[in-house]
Amino acid sequence: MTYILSLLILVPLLGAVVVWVAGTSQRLAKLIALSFSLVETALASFLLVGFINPSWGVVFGPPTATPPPTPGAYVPLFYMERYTWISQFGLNYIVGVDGLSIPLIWLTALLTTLALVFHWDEENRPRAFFGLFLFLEMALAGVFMALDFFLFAIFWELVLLPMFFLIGIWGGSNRRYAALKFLIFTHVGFVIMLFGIFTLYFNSAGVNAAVYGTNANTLDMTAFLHGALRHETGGLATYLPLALQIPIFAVFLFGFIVKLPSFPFHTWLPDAHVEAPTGGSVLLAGVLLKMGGYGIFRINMGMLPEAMKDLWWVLAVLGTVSMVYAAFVCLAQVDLKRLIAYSSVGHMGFVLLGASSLTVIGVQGAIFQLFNHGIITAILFMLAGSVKHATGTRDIPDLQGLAKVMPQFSLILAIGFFASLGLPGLNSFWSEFMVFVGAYGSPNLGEMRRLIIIPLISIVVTAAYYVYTMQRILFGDVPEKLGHSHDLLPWERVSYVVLVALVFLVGFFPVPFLGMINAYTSASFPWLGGL
Amino acid sequence: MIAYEWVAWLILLLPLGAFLVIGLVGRRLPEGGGMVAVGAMAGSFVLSMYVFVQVLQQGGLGGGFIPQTIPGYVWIPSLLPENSIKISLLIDNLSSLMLVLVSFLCLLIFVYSLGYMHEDDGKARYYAEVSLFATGMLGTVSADNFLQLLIFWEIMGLCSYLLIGFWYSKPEAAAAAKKAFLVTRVGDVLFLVGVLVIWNVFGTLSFAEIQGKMASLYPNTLTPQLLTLIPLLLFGGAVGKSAQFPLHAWLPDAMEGPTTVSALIHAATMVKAGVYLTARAFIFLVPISSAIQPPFTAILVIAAIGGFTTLFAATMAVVNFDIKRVLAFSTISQLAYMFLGLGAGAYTMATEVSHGEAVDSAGYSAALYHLFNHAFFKALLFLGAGSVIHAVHTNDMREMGGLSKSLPITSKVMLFGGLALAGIVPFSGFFSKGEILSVTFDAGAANPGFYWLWALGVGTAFLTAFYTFRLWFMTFHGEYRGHEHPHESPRVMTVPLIILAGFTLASGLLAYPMGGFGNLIFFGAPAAGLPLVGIPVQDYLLEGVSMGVAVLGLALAWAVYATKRIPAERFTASKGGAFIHRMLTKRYWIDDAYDAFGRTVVYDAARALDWFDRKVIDGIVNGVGRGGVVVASGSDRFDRRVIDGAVNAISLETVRTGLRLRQRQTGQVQSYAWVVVLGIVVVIALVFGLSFLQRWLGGLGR
Repeated sequence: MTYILSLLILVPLLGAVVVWVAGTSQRLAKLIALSFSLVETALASFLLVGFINPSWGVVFGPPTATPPPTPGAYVPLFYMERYTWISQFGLNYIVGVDGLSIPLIWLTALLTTLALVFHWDEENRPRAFFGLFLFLEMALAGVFMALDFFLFAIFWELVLLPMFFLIGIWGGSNRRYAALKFLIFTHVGFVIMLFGIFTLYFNSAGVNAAVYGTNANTLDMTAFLHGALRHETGGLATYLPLALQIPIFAVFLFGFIVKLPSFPFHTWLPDAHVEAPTGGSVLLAGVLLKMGGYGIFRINMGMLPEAMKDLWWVLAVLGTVSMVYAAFVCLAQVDLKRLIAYSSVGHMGFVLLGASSLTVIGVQGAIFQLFNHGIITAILFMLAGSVKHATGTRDIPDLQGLAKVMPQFSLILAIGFFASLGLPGLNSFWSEFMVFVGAYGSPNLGEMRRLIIIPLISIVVTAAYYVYTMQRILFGDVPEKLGHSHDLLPWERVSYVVLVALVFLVGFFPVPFLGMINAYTSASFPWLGGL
Repeated sequence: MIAYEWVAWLILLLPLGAFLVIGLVGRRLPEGGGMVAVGAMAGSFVLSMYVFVQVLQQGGLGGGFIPQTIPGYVWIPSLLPENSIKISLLIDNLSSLMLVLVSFLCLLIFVYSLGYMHEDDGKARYYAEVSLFATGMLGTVSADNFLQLLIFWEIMGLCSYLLIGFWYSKPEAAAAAKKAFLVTRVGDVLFLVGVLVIWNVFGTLSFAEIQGKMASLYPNTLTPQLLTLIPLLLFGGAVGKSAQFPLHAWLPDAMEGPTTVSALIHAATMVKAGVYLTARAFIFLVPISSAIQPPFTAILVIAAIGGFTTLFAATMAVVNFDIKRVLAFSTISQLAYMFLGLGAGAYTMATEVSHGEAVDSAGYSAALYHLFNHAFFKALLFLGAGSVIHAVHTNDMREMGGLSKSLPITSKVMLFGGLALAGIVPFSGFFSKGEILSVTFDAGAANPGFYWLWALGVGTAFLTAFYTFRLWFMTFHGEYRGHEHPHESPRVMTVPLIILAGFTLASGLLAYPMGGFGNLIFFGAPAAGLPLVGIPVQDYLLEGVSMGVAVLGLALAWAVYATKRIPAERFTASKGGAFIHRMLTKRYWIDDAYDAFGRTVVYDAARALDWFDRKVIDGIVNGVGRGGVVVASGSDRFDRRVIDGAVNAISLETVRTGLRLRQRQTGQVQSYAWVVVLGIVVVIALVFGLSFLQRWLGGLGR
């Protein structure tokens, strides 16, 4: 069954259409949306277990990689589909997945489903609301599996639209500003990225000839992936020269760090989150930010390794600054949701730092961090939604003693906060630990490795802002006005239970995910250093 | 070989299971699941004994037992299988003894809790959290590598945080929990860096493999600087966890938690983890061959922090009126003794190794011996204090007094505990503390600095006896000064106290049948004979000195607080005395300084950066946005007046169309949504249509 990936795009798209057409009542709209989303999650789960253990891949067969026609090393990409679209322009429909994209696709399906469940009582234009979620799911799945630049760009842009409307229609009081800011920021990032795509296209004939035997310009991403790998492992003498890689690297990196986001292009994120509805925030932080990280590994590292080896320090500096800066800014936040938004900036700094290390363990940690952060931040944004629903406010100074009146909420909050601050045994500890191991052991650093203490400061400050927040909102006496706050709603509980279970499961048994990521890094980046 | 290896795993899994059961359904169980916790702990204790007995049977005494790793599963896979990080248990003399000690104390304290926490509404939460804690502590002492140790160490830290803040509606408890977590977190980060460095140098984190690779990596990969840095970083973690200067400030405040928690976590077990870690770090401190230059600087830092903190903390215990805080300062001080013993022992050993002489691990054994003894008598003192607090409902010793009549059992067992803490023969504290002081004195031969540290230790022995009996006399002697009607605690609380009181004698004397504690717990080769057996004469002299000053301290406490022949006011009335008293009650202003640092430096930095983010970065963003709008409206005007003007002139029809289109521009975002979606559908249709057209045309061409 090789059409599984197209199915993953078509199911939510079809779902969106069905919701728009048939979702005449709130009940109907959410039930249709949920069933399509569950089908999508099931498909993604079959895909995931097949990757964790090929012998479990019974539904769609074990994953098999498609090699390019020419002999030599190649980047294994699985379940590939390739159709010619408009051959005159070199446009193809190419999709494929590997250990980098599978966790993210699964995360997309899972978080969409849970976001829908979390919004079970959404009454404001339910048809459009639930439909947009499915549309967003389609676009996100597409981004993570597109292997043609044109397709990638289309999906990349399609992601913006549903999120723009989710913020702009269902958002808070300042939603127009936030939605516009989100749109302009990421769109500018995209437009600049387009220069990179064009430059690659006009310099692709040589690579295409070497990999696919066709001496024509191409937008096929796999040509560059295979070409770069062969060049790095000595199988291909001429690839894009460094002088060309560097400007391309720079424009892509710009697009990706805007999306990630990294200091100093992060200010759209807190505004977007504060205004977005809970489910929008969950997908925004849980999956949309991961597009930036995905792009860095797929394009900057996978296709431009020479530039990566030259400019790793840019990522290291940006990552470190984001980590420390965001941690301090979090400490001063009043709005709980804003705090969580800034904490995302800090946690995405780990991704940059891990990638910059150019070590096996650091890169693995960074990819794992994408997944772990998606799980944890989904919990945290849901909590911000729950507390707003229950008490009418998200401002930390107005909340106090919630452990007494909202014990379930408080338990989840404590788990989420401790997971986010990297408590050993919970999932994000592993990714953060691996990033630090990689960064410290990076062959680039030499004597400068003692600088590792700077990003490590952020660990203490992160603990400080979480523990300080818990002290203020959970502990102490309950003020009169919060005395009757209701605890978690039943459908909210469903979403939390699934995510918290993952926090523990991945924390205690990280191997299924790490094994998958390990297979990806060792096959795609054999040139990485470190232990 | 341990028969039935899974038994060792079960030691950890039983309390973990209790945690899960109580956490899920504890509210519905009798005593909030207390019996489940006690039952699981009893099981862990029996299994720990089983493992320990096997170790003994296989020659544990005298070094015949070969340390054994019980494999678990892989945590982080790696390209090279030997580099992957696994969870596995290490069973050797030290860990098997620690398992017994921890599970026994947990069991006693859980039983005591059945009485102490009986009235509390949060019982289920309590038993769930202490069961998780027990898992963490048992995991810490049986970890086979530094990362696993760190993980269980942090689980303990989490439980400590939750249990200090157990009565979370009290603002002091919430603040103390935060302080404990953050201060120890500073140490944990240093520990984490240590783990990173070890991993980077050795490519493994397991104790045994590190020791094996040491000789081949020195001095190229493992430079002398790194060999100094690694134990110091690990010790940084120990300083946080064991509340040593300068990260000591959290422990006295941690007394806001239930007294059982103070006894278990903040006296008997968790705070010992730092000592345990430093003992495991001996593989770095004491090299296996003379080819490796030992990291003397690191050793000296450990000993000096220990020597300083022991006196430093003891002085603060002298002026406190909170019965639990006195014991907390005392815990800091006694832990510092252990670090002093480890440091002095390591120095002597390292010196001997570098001279190629026979190695004697007296300091290592003495420090762990003190750990063992202290766990019993300090748990006893805390539980006794808990019994007192249970009776009089206050922590303030000024509202106690004369309680020996109403609390006869408590007062007697606390007397036992006090004598052990003060180091009076034949109670356990005497042997181990005396041994530490003699080891320190002996290290003076290699480095005269240790004579100074010895002097600090002897001074502390004096203060220890003084504050211990100050506590005892203020609580149990004289007339009752409070307003309650105190009565003795129930049997479920007094029986554990009596058992522990027995151990204040037994734990010291147990070394005798072992042929000396050093015969069981040693680093390198067993050191049979210490203490009690075959002690050189000079050591009798040194131990006589340490007990002599203890007796003096006891006598002074008697004179000041029992007979009141020397009133304390005489000291505080003088100008210098008043200043010292103020300095000690303000804890040398260190807590204030930390608070001020957190409030002003850290928090103000955070606020400044937040301002920077909102005003500067976002200001630039908004400025660029506004600039864009200006440019856009300019070109809009150009478009409408110049270009559109020309167009309008050409075709009126265009204007009409435009007017019609303008009606569609309702300004409603959702209507834009439909337009955009429609647009996308059109684009997709167009693209697909084009591709079909192109194929069709291509087909025609062929």
